[in-house]
Amino acid sequence: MFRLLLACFLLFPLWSLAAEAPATQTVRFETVNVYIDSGDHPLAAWQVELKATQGDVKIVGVEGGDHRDLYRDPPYYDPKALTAGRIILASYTTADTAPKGKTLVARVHLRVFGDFRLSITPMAAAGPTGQSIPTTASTANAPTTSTPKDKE
Amino acid sequence: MPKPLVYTFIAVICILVMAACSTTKQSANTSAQATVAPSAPTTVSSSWQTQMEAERAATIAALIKDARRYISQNKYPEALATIDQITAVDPTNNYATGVRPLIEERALTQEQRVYRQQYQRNLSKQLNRGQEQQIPHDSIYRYPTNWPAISDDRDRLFMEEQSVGEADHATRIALGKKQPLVRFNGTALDEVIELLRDTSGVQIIPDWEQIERAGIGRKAAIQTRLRDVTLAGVLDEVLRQVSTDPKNPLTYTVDEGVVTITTVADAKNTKRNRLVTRAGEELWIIGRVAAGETQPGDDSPGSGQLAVKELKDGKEQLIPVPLKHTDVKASIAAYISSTTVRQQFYNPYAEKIEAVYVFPLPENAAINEFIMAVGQRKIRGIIREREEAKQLYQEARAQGHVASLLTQERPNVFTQSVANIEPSKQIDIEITYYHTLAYADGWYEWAFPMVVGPRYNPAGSTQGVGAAPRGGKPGITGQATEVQYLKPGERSGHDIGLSVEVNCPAGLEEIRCASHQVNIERPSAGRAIVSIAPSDTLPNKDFVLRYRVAGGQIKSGMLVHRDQKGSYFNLMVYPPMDLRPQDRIPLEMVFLLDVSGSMSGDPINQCKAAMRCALSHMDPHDTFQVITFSGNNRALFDRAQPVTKEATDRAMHFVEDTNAGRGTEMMPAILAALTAPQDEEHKRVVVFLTDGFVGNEDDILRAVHDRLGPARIFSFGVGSSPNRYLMDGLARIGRGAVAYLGLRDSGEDVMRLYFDRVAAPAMTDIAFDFGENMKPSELYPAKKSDLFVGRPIIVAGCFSGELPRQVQVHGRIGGRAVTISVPVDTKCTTNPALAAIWARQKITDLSDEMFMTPNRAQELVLLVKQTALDHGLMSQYTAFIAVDSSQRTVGDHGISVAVPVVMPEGVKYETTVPEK
Repeated sequence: MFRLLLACFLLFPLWSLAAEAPATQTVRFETVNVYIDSGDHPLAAWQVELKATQGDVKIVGVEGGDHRDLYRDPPYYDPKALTAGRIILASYTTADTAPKGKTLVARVHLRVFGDFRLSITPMAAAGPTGQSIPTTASTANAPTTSTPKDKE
Repeated sequence: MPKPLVYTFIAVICILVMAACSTTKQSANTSAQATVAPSAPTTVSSSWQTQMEAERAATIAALIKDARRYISQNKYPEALATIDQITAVDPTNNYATGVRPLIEERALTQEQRVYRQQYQRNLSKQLNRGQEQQIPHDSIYRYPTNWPAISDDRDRLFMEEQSVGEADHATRIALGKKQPLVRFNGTALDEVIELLRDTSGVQIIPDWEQIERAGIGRKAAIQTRLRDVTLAGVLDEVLRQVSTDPKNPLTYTVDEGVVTITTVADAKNTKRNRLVTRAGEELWIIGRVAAGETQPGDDSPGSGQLAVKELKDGKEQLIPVPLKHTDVKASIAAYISSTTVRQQFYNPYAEKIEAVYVFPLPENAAINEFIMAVGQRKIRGIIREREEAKQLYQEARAQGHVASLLTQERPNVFTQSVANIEPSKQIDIEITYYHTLAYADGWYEWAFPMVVGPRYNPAGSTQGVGAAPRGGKPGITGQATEVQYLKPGERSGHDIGLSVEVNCPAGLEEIRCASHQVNIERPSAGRAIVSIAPSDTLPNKDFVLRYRVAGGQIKSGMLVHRDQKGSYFNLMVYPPMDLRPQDRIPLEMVFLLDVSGSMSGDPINQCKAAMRCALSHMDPHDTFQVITFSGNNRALFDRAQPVTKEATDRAMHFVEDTNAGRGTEMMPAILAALTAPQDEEHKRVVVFLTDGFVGNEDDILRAVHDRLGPARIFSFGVGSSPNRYLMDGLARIGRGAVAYLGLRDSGEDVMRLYFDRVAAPAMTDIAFDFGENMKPSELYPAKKSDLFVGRPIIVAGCFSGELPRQVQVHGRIGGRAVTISVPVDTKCTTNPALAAIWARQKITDLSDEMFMTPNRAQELVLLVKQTALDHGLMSQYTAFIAVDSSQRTVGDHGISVAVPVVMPEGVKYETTVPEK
């Protein structure tokens, strides 16, 4: 009994150290939602750049958004522009009623280690007739800096 | 027994022995005092020592006897313990030291056998549980101990009574299976039928012509809710609901295992038997037990776990595998095909699994899209360097995320791994690729391989593709990639659906499929939709579709694609009209015939038919040689012989007497064919007939490149699933041409076309003139092959500048300069497939270059990797990874289950899959 107590006493500091280690200091998989806000303009085509500005981030999958059936299919990415933590995503719809306002267009699956930060930049967006439209891009569930295209 | 204990035991024994000796000594002394005069003390000591020696020898003899007994009883651990005792008493004992390694080896073997049996038992149990999951009832059935006999008798009597075939009988059983819950809420009739077909696995085919004639539409709504009703009952209810004419209602018939829905009148006319569900279909079930009542770990026969294997058709055993279905959809425009392969992985077991499936795709497939579907969600896979992708996959797998990884083992062999599939869950994988079609002798050919044939790997090889029996321990073959094969009489539920849409604006003259039974729709003169028939969905042979374009003569042409990333073209050049048979130089034909185990049966018979034709079609000016190879090679003649009746008769007998068996030592045979002494008057042509089932393809291709010299290789891929990567590679590097001889092709026809090909001179020294304004770059293949009659060449390239109206192709035919003009379609410049096809061709070229310049291998690997990453393409050095990071499954990653595949049609399991 005494030995057991002694062992617990000796091991407690190690256990408390482990318990205090932040969860972010392990490899984990996270999902980032990508939104595009096209205001009053219908969003028929879009292209954004998402990249990690801080931390060890690797992109491991790209999923479609939730806007009914319009952007449900996973967007395309440019393999040439792909690096471990950077991806250029694009998609389009030929549906008559393209979505307006803030639209969830994609979910990006990430493998991360430690703290990380993302940056998102809308690269292009167009309405149903192909005309360029102003948009902003943002993400949810991940620390992100949204950068307008002009400032990139 | 642990050694310290043994030593203690021996020490105690020694003490006791010494004590006993002391007592004996005292007793002996007493006795001596009584009977004889006392001896000198030295004599007493010597006697004691002798006695000790005798005791020791007796102990050792007894121990040796024990050890022998244990060995004879296969009790190796006990035998080893006894040997330890002997060694403790006599460390230099010859018997102990000599026999110990032998016993240790036997003990190890025994231990391994026990583990193997344990593994098999666990696997069986796992399969049991999996099968149970598939039984659409909540309870577990208990069967009598002699259920197989009861079942057989019942089935036999039933079939005799009904006079139905085996296929119908299997369908009858399926129709009699109860459906736990069926609910249709205004669902359309066609959807209902599709749903019933998919969930039951029964081929239910509606005769829409008859149904619609009876005034019933495809979209007739079904409203019903049924529980625990047989499939037959569900069908009855559905048909009752939609039937509008009480005199001629809908019914269904069973013929050749297919359930056809039609009208009663039509059924009578066509004399199809109405299937009546027999009451008491499950008479042989004598009781049910509550879940959990079955004793875990009870593996004795008749203990109630029927689900080990299900008898199908009374012959085949149904093995649950984690791959349910493969669906292939292809579209062909011009000579470019876009194909999407959807693999449906399903976990039929009670525990979480990782499914691993080794499967083939065309060797020139430019795979650039990979999507993992989890329920309704689709996740696009990301291209990564192979090792990085593997690491990401392992991390995701370890953390319980659903993940998938696609790697390339050969240009035509891939491994799909899907991790963390929960019980009864399905994960779909979609792979999309482009490729150019083959064209030969007037026919375009679209081929889809369905199974990787069992490969032979030479001794010492570790990077091959090994063939293992189903359930074999991973790594049993010692090869980097392993394919598990179902044993004869086994069948998995995995089937395949395939549909190809052919678009040909010029019109389709003829379209046919020799490999499979197909349904062909022709919506217009230039369009055809070909789908595999429901009766031929076993994925055990290449699907080969051939079509001929209307108008006879194919025109050369150039396709172009331009976007912001670059400009690409694909040039197809057909041989000129005047490439017709004329006097040719004499040839030395070396027929190289594969007679290994995988060629046994139908493939070798096809080869013999082709050889009979070849031997009777040779030119009198030619010489010839026949070499067969399997475990070793055997040449008919010492050197090539002139074509005489005597020589060809001898060759004919040689070929006819050949039997296939043993390994596939292809390398010595290739070297023998290419390096034999040759006279200068004859040009050597190697005619190579094989299925190509070897795992050392790259070594073979390297040897061909190194030893080819002025010779040419014409390869013939024989059988239902030849290794097209090797066959195409032999022809490409051997500067010849490839042809395929399927099991349903005519060997004579294929060989006759070959003779036409070599009878005409090839167009050589080919060069392209793209005009002044177009700047082509990176043309692949970089090494121009010759243009043979009936065979076009395809060149992919990049360009800048303005397109010309036509491209000039210069060359020489028999010393005469020839120019072919190829028109360029300058209007249509959107064909994104061209970029992927160009990159794939570049990778092929770079890979070939690795054979030719091994000192540049490192640089070439980097180039291949970069090209693949830039274009998002699958390659030897890149892989696709997809992870669903949004959720984690519970528990650890479960066991890894290899998807066993069926043996290719015509290939014998016994001669190709080593059991050990």
